Amino acid sequence: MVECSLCGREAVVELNYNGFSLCEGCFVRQFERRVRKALRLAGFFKRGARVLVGVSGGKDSAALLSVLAKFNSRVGAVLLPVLVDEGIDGYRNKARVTAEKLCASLDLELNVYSFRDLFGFGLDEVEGLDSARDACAFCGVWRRWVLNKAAVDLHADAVVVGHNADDVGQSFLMNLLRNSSSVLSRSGLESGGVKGLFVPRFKPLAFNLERESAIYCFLRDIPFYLGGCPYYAGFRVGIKDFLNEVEGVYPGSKFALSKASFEVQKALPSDKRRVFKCSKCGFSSSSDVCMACSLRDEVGVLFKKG
Amino acid sequence: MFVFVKSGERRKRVVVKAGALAGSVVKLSEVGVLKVNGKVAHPKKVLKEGDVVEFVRVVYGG
Ligand SMILES: [Zn+2]
Ligand SMILES: [Zn+2]
Repeated sequence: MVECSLCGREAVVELNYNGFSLCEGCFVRQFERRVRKALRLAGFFKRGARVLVGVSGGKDSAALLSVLAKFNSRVGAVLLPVLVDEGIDGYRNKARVTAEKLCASLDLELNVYSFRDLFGFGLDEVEGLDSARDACAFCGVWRRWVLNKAAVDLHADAVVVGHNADDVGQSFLMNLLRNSSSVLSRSGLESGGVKGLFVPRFKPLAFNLERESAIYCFLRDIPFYLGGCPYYAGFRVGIKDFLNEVEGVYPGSKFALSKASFEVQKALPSDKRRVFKCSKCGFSSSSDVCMACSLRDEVGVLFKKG
Repeated sequence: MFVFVKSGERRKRVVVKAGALAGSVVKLSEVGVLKVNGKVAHPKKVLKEGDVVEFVRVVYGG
């Protein structure tokens, strides 16, 4: 039997990045301690606060919602789980069943916002169009827009998403490779809110690895959907595979990269670009029409052509 | 002795030396989690005859 590096009980997890082996209890405590640290830095998780939790049915958001629900017995915030249904048959409909099961087990009501209801089409229809962009390019922008819309509808004070240290590192590297310094300056633990236009967004899992979310769910018997999105493609996938390989050879690289992301973000002058109100949807935008609305227009033209 | 290597719904019977370690039976990587008999397990866990070893892929894209 391998002993836990902290308490001597039987270890069930080996952490390559620091050489520690942990038992079930010590791993769960470590995971939760890191979430608590992120929440403390963010500062929004308080009595009475309305917190929208982006839930997908996958491991990260399942871990996030479960940890928040556990902490919330002492905090007394209002948790509002929201699932964005992009209209991907055979994937999101299955994940949704798992998300509903999770919410029911936590005595929370799941709010569902679907592309088909809001836009009149789902991602399956968009995938069939003759567009130069891949489905992920549309989906990411629209998901973000829908979560913000849900946050405004539900009078949320904050939005939390299940982005982990892997996601933070991937985004950092992608932005470096694209030389997007203005995005880098906005890529910390928090995306700042703009009153009435954008509800602030936080990443409480940013100090845990993606793999650790899965382990946490397995250890606590938290239901999550294991399948992957059929449209998952593009730059991020390449970066993700690359970082997984690097981590395999040089353990600790992912944490180093996500830390570097936060350090660089702090050091950069804050993004002072003017925030506009989108003339179509009324939410925040970097120009007269927001990205979500202009992509909807783009798709509208393609639908007419097809 | 023998153990089972589980992959999805399939199980394959594999002959291993007595005292074999769980992590030596499947290929470990950053994209998944090791389980023995359905529970998260340390790669240096010593296997017993009939144990079911599984590497659950939890990271997608690649
Ligand atoms: Zn321990
Ligand atoms: Zn708009």
